[in-house]
Amino acid sequence: MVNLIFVEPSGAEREVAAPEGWSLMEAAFQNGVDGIEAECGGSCTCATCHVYIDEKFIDRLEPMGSNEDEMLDCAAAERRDNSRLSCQIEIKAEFEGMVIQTPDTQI
Amino acid sequence: MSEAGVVILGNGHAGVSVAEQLRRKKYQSAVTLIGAEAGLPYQRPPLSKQYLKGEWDEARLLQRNAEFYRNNDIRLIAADPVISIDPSAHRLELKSGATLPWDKLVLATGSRLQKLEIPGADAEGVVYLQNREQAEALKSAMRSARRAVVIGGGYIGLEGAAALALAGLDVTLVNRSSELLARSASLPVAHWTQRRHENQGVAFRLGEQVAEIRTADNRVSGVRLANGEVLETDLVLVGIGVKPDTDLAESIGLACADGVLVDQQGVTSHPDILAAGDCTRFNHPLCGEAIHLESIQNAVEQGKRVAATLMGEEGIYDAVPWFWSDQYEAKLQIAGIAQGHDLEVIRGDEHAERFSVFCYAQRRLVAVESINAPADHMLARQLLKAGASPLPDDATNPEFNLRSALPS
Ligand SMILES: Cc1cc2nc3c(=O)[nH]c(=O)nc-3n(C[C@H](O)[C@H](O)[C@H](O)COP(=O)(O)OP(=O)(O)OC[C@H]3O[C@@H](n4cnc5c(N)ncnc54)[C@H](O)[C@@H]3O)c2cc1C
Repeated sequence: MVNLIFVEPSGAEREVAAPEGWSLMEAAFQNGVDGIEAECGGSCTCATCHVYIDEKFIDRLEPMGSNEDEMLDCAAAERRDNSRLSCQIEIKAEFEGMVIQTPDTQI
Repeated sequence: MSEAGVVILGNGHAGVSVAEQLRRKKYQSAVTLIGAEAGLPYQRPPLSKQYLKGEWDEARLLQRNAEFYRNNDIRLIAADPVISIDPSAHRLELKSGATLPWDKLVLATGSRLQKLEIPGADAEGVVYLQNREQAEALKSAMRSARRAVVIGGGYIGLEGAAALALAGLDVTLVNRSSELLARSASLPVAHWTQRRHENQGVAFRLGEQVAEIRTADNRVSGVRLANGEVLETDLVLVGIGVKPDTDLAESIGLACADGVLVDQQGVTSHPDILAAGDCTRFNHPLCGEAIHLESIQNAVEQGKRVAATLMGEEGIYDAVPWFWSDQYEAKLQIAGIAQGHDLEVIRGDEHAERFSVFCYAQRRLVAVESINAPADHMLARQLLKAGASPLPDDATNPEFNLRSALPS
């Protein structure tokens, strides 16, 4: 299990332990983390699992695909350099302690 | 309010949404979520996708983990269906014999499967795909089968056919209508989908009826069509649709019309009984007549509206409907309601890998169906929400930025 910290829109921090191989979105969704809607269940079709990734980790992620890139342009909250769709990021052991910020709004 | 609180009847996507939202909104009394199936509430879409393909295990299928319900003080009752409701006493009865009081009741019973009613339909090897148990049975049947016949060319039948074809089976899909996705997508999208399946080796019998399931030792051996053709097969997957599950609602005299009728706040004809998800029918500002939807978006968002109503919040249910389906690696996405449109125009190339169909009714944009065009889909949702309609000529012009049709 890998320990992750999600910061909810209220500023509250939620520590979540999730198996390697799941997506960041799934880790948040199953634990009911506020700020991640994930309406499409991880098909990269809804852009409601937008998150801001810890700067320290951003270079360790697989680069984003063109679908994700397009979807992020349409996300409800501001797109930043560290914006990603959490359903497209597979959890790895080296993510231990990663902080993931949720945006104010997803829809 | 008494201790009884809100009781939610049905623990699918709508039921879980209501429970979660009530807690997020700091609802103070009890929240009870009742399900007929055993185990924790799980997600249905992956049953015909990741789960069927063996990519996900059961733990990954769950909607929320056990801790979530504990932390949020949501009481779960599983494997114990509700068998009757007494509206005047505000109580309901479970199959186990237990009875439960409620202050407010939410019906989230979802859909009931349409069963095949032809000779041989109950033979071993005839499977459906609506719940986890059925997905499990299909998965194990797939392992030993070489050939499969899929009956029904809707989303479930097509996603099932894709999983079967990818697993290496010879697949033939039989559909009563001469077009796939007859009730739910435009012709360009239906034709694109058919070509994609044909490229994968799926054979089609369109505009054909099944007359009989042939059996040997009560196991499926073939499917006979009304035209006399016999398709030999080891497995039959039936996906001929679902109906809103209104049994309990009708038994207590709630107004129903192929769905439990709810108002724009999600309240049924009884003021203390609300309903959300697949089991409902309602008026939506985007559509002239009462509609019924079968989608995650509707289950989740109507569930949110019901929770808001229970908390005394004003407002109506007006979220823009949307839906997705995976066809192999392709993404099919639909925004809006395409019922009764009179004009379709295409953005992109319908014979290529990516395009969108813009549907208009009396020059008003009512729906957009996209193949591998997620940005079109997302913008379509924003356009529909804002009530904005790009001119059809603009929609088809690749140089035209759809964003510019949004009110600033
Ligand atoms: C295989 C499959 C794939 C799908 N794929 C997609 C997709 O890609 N995209 C999409 O948008 N939608 C998809 N759908 C549709 C979507 O899953 C449904 O629209 C959604 O689940 C509806 O939610 P609901 O809560 O209204 O009903 P359900 O999720 O069906 O839940 C209703 C629950 O109520 C329970 N229940 C009923 N009666 C009683 C009773 N008397 N007592 C106790 N419990 C009871 C049932 O057992 C059931 O668990 C798919 C559906 C299936 C079956």
